[in-house]
Amino acid sequence: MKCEREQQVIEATRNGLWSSSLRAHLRNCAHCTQTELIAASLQEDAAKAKRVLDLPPAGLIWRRAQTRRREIALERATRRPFLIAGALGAVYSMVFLLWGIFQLPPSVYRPFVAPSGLAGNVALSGAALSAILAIIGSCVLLLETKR
Amino acid sequence: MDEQTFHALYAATAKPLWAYIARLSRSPDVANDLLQETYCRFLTAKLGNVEPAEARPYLFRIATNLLHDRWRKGEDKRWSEPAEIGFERDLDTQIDVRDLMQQLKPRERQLLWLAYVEGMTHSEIAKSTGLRSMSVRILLFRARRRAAELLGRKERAVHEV
Repeated sequence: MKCEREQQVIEATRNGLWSSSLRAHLRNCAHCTQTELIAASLQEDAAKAKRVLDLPPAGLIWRRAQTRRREIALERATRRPFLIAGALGAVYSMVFLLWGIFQLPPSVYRPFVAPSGLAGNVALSGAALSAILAIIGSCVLLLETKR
Repeated sequence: MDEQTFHALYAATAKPLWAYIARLSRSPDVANDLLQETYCRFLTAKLGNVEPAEARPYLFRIATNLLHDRWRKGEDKRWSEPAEIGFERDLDTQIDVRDLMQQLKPRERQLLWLAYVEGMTHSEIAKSTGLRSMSVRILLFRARRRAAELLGRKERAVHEV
């Protein structure tokens, strides 16, 4: 149940310009009569709401928006060095760990590994795991910084 | 958008936007806060370059999102007291539309307001609410039916008295 002249009825209720044909239509259309009742009630209420209006000045909002814009720009500018520092930190951790492992004499880690000749592989796996943990740590740090 | 253009846009849109927020939130204080926040977000979200004539749906959309955030947090409940400063009751009005609006769901109130007070088309309402045009049509039809029932009930009650 929808009348194609409903929008015209709403517009007429808003601006008060009723054509004679629309008036005649309103008398014969239950849907539009209902529309007119709801629209008129709501518009009356809207008019009342606007009467008690004490709007904040536009200049105040403009200045507030400018301040916020500057804050956002500043936040963006400081976020980038944090990201770069985080990424560099991850790379540095990884390189340092690998370097450390290659500096160790075999006698240091030999007692901890199985005598099956897998010492090198295990050490590398350990180094890789450490590097992964270091990267994850850096990522967590970066995410916390972003928040 | 320069400051002069913003002033013109504000003058053209602030009153209807304030009334929309005030009637949906039921609080003039909340309306003041959300109105400022709406324009601030509009200006900072690079929407400030939108032509003033096209800004209306964006502004209503931002305001709607802010209202939804409030509803989600449950902050709306404590604003539902009927007698609030700045909203004195008009005793001459037999059918109190505010009572009617309170009996409707927030989404229904929103759609009815945009359609019947702002005169928005279904596609404009869709832009302002984030709903699909088809959903707007169906939801608006239901909201309208419910509002008509409530208004009819109130009218009958007035006539009986």
